[in-house]
Parts: sequence; structure tokens; C-alpha cells
Amino acid sequence: MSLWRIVGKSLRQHGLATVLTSLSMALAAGLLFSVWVIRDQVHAALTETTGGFDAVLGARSSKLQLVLNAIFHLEASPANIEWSDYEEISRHPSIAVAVPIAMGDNYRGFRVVGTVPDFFTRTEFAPSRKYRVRAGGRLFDPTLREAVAGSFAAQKLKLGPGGRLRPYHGLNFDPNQQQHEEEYVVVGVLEPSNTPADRVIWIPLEGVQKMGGHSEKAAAEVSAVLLKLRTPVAGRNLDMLYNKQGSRLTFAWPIGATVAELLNRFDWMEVVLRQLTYLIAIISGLSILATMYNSMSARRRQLAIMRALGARRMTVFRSIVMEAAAIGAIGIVVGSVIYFVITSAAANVVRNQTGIVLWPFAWHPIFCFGALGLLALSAVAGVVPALQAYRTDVAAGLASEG
Amino acid sequence: MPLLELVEVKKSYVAPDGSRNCILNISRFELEEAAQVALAGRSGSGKTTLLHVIAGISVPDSGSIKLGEVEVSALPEPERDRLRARTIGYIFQTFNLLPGYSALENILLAMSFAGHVDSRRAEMLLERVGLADRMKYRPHQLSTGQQQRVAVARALANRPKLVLADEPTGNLDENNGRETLTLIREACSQDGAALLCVSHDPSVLARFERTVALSEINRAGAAAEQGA
Repeated sequence: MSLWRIVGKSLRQHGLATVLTSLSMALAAGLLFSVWVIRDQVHAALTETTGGFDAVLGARSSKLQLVLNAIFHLEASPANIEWSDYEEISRHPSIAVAVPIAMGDNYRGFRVVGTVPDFFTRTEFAPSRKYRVRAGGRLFDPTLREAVAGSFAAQKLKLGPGGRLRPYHGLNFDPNQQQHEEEYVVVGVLEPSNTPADRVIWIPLEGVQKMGGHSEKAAAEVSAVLLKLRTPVAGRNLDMLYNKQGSRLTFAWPIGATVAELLNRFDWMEVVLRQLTYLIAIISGLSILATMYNSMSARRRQLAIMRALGARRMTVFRSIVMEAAAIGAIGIVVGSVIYFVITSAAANVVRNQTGIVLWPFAWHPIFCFGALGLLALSAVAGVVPALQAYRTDVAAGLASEG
Repeated sequence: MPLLELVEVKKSYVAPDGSRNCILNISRFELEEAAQVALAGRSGSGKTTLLHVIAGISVPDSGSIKLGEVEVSALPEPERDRLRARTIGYIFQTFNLLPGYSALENILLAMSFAGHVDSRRAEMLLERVGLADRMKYRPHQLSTGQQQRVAVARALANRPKLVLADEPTGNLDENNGRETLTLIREACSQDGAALLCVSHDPSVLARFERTVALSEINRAGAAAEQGA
């Protein structure tokens, strides 16, 4: 009979204590894994999501607002810029691709964004990956009232080729807001890109510019221009040109660094969450220690019997430490389930709000280091009761009440 | 050469008032291989303490305890544990079966401490004590007589040279006590193990060909009895 079998017997014998202490460790493991994974995946997704662009040109505002609005389709649009601004930047020798976008409407909570076909045909949202329309659909004709739906928006709105929609005024859905007269026909649905573009309904730029109810001035304006630079050096020159020398427009570059600024503002929250997780882990370890320590007097006779049968002190010591580690291991396994529940829920919320996809099943080193750390913590928590068991006086233990 | 030889073994304990009380003072005691001896003594005369020092559970203050060629009292504790697991079988008055383990597992556990688990032998031992159909039963599912039979099988698990039985019938009724004692003696005979059975029960002592009064060999006990 192996030591693990003895440990298993003891765990079953003290079933309630095993379950309760394992649950506290499970909570610690679940939170530990969740905090690390969600933080890192959100960080990576936000700083690496650029839609294939290097910079955004928009009305004078904060760079962050510009990026959140034009790339992530969050936040309000600061203001529009002149069509001539778009023409000027698109002719700049440092610019490889310039894609104008216009916004101001939504369809049942999903933004309706006007753009040009270049957005789909000349940009790669990830290396070697262009936006593609699902089989059975096509890109919109910029001269017609046609729309292409992002995959997530299409799924939620149950839109497919042939579907029709009339945009509502404003970026946020309010059924009392004016619904435009113009009706758009969906001619295609984009394949999932796991970017914010999945949450958008794309229509021709002119459609937004000349939408009924929009000001006449809007017909000669765009909300922002998405830019792909020929060289990174160009970003510094344009930054100087628009941000330092000019005062009318904002040039947000580089996009990742701009978003990182936002994330840095929430560093304190991450620190608090991590400290909280450490605290829960320590409390879990202490609960293992306290539970096992308290059970030692009840186990005294049983330990004495084992010793009388020839079990060595170190065998008894090891069995108690292994039992504590086993409680930790059970907690880690259950904690993994808690982790999947937490991250799946978080992924759902994040995707609904931003279009960014989190991957609960993706590997993260915390699964290894965190699990080993919690296992070690549990084993260490078992040392004090194990020492108590180690010191068991066999003769006195045999004489004690069972 | 005797299997067990005790020479000038002394053991005392510290009383709550700080005084030192001598519980064992044995000038000489021997037990031959495969012999069966009853050790008679009243309650508190040091019977259990004697078995503990023989088994290496406790260490004598002085003197020599030899089991075969091995000087038990000179061994470090891990070696005494190993010797106890491999060479000595112990039967307790209160059976001392582990409650979370089945009858079979109680025997397998004793084997694992000796480093050699033999499931077939464990089953055979339970068959021999008449519990072939109770192998998977936990102690609380067995009668007291059945529990002591499991304890007998467990004591013989590692083919011990010496079986120490501490009031083995003390918690059993007359019939069960008689049957259990017969079982212990037969099992030890079949396995060639010596048996040292301590008891204060005249009906148990009467079943042995050789009975030694502890007061005869234990000067501390004799002094105590004289004083009583």
C-alpha cells in the first residue's frame, strides 16, 4: 500500500475538512489564474489591436480618445475633420494607405461606420490576414446603399446577405432616437477577425456623410483617417507636423503605445487584485494548516497504531505533508474549473463590449508557476501538523481514547 | 540461543509530581524460538510497558534486549521501527484496527510498513481466521470477535518471529475470547512464531503450558505488589 493510498484514505476519512479546505484553495487558484490571464490577454489584445494601421488622424483631442473611437469603436467621436485634410494626408509621401471613416449612427447598439473599399482590400488587420467576406456575400458597392456586417454584429442582429437595416441616429442605441429613412441591404458578412471590426456594420463612406438628418457640412467631412505609414520614422515627422506645430488636428501614433497609456492608468487596480489574490492564497494555506493541526489530536491514536505497526516517524511526517499537498492539488483542479467559469464570463463581457476575444483555454505560464506555488504553499502548510504527527508518542497515543 | 533475551532491563517514568517511578526492573527473561509463554500480571504491573520495550516502541533506561542477534535497545529509532514491522507482530487488547481501512487493507497496510505487500498472503490470512467473506468490511461493520481476528491476521502479516499479545481477549466475551486465543496459538504455531501473551485473566493463563508471573521477573513490580 503506497503512501499516496494512505493519503487518499485519510482524505476520504476527513471528507468534510478536505472539501472545505480544497474549496478555499480552489478559490485562490481560480482567482490567481483568472487575474493573470485576463490581465495579460486584455493587455496584449488592446496594445496589439491596430486593425493593421499605424496611426489615426482626427480632430484635436486626446490621442487616446481618437484611438478608442477610430480603432476600437468605443468612446464618442471628438469631432469631424475636413475632407481636404484627408486628401492632404493621403497624398503625403510617408503614407502608404489612408482610409477615411465616418460615424455617427448605430443599428440596435452596433455602430454603423462609413468607409471606402480600401479598408477591406488594402489593409491587413494581422500579418498576412485581410478582412474577407464569407462565402455567399460580397463587399458593398460604394455607390449603392449596401452594407457589410462584422461577424459578431451579424450574429447578434441575425443579419445575413439580403437582410435590411435602417440606422438609428447617434452612436448609442436609443429606440426613441430618430431612425433614418435610408435603408441598407446587407450584401455580405465578414469572416471573424477577432478585432473590433467584428462589431461594426460597414457601409459606404458617402452613406454616412449624406445620411438624412446629418448636417450638410458633414457631407464634406470624415470622422478620422486610419493611416499606414511607409516607415516608422514618418510617424515622428507627422507627430511633429500635426501635434507640435499644428493645433487643429491630432495625430495618434503609435496606436499600441497610446492604448498602453490607458492600461498604465489602471496599474493600481492590477496591483490591488494581485495582492488580494496573494492574500486569499495565504488564507487558504492557513486554513489547511489550522484544519489539519486541529485534527491531529483526533488522529493521535491512529498515528500511534501506524507507528506501532512499524511506520517510521518520517513516513508519518511525509504522509501529512502529502495530504496537505493533495488538498492543494484538489483545490488547483477545482480552481481550474472556477478559472474557466470566470474567464469565459469575462471573455463574453469583453467581446460584447469591445469585440476583442479572450481565450480561456490558451496556455499561460501562470498555470504552471501558479499551480506549483500553491502546491508548495499547501505542502508548507502541512509541515506544522506533520511535525506534530512526527512527535507523536506511540505509547501515549495507544493509551489514548480512540 | 533464545529468540528473545532481556538482561537487567530497567524502565522508569516521571510522575506528575516530578518523582521518578521504576516500572520495570527485570534481571533476566528469555523466550525460545516458536515458544508460547503467558506472562501473568495484575493491572498496572508493567505488562504493556514490557511489551513496548521489547517491540522497540519505548527504550529502556538501561539493560539489554536482544531479539535473535539484534540488540534492540541499541538500535536507532528508524531501525527499531523496521525491526518491529518485519519481525514482530502486535495484538492489542482494543484491536486497534484503522477505522478507514477494510479488513484486507488493514493487513496490507502492515505489510507496506515492512516494505513487502503480498495481497495473496493477506487474503489467505483472512481466510485462515475465518473472514474470507468479510475482507472488504470496515472495522465498524465487524463484530468485536471478528475485529480481533483481523488483528490476529494483521499481526502475522509479515511472518514475524515473535508475536506480542497484550490482553488479547480482554475486550471479548468468554466464547470469543476462547476461540480467539486458540486462533492466535494455532496461527503462531503454523507460522513458527513465538508468542508472548500478557494477561491477568486466569482462564487465559491456564491455556498455556508455560506461564511466568511478571512479579517473579520484575523486581520493580514485585516491590510494588509487596507495597500494595
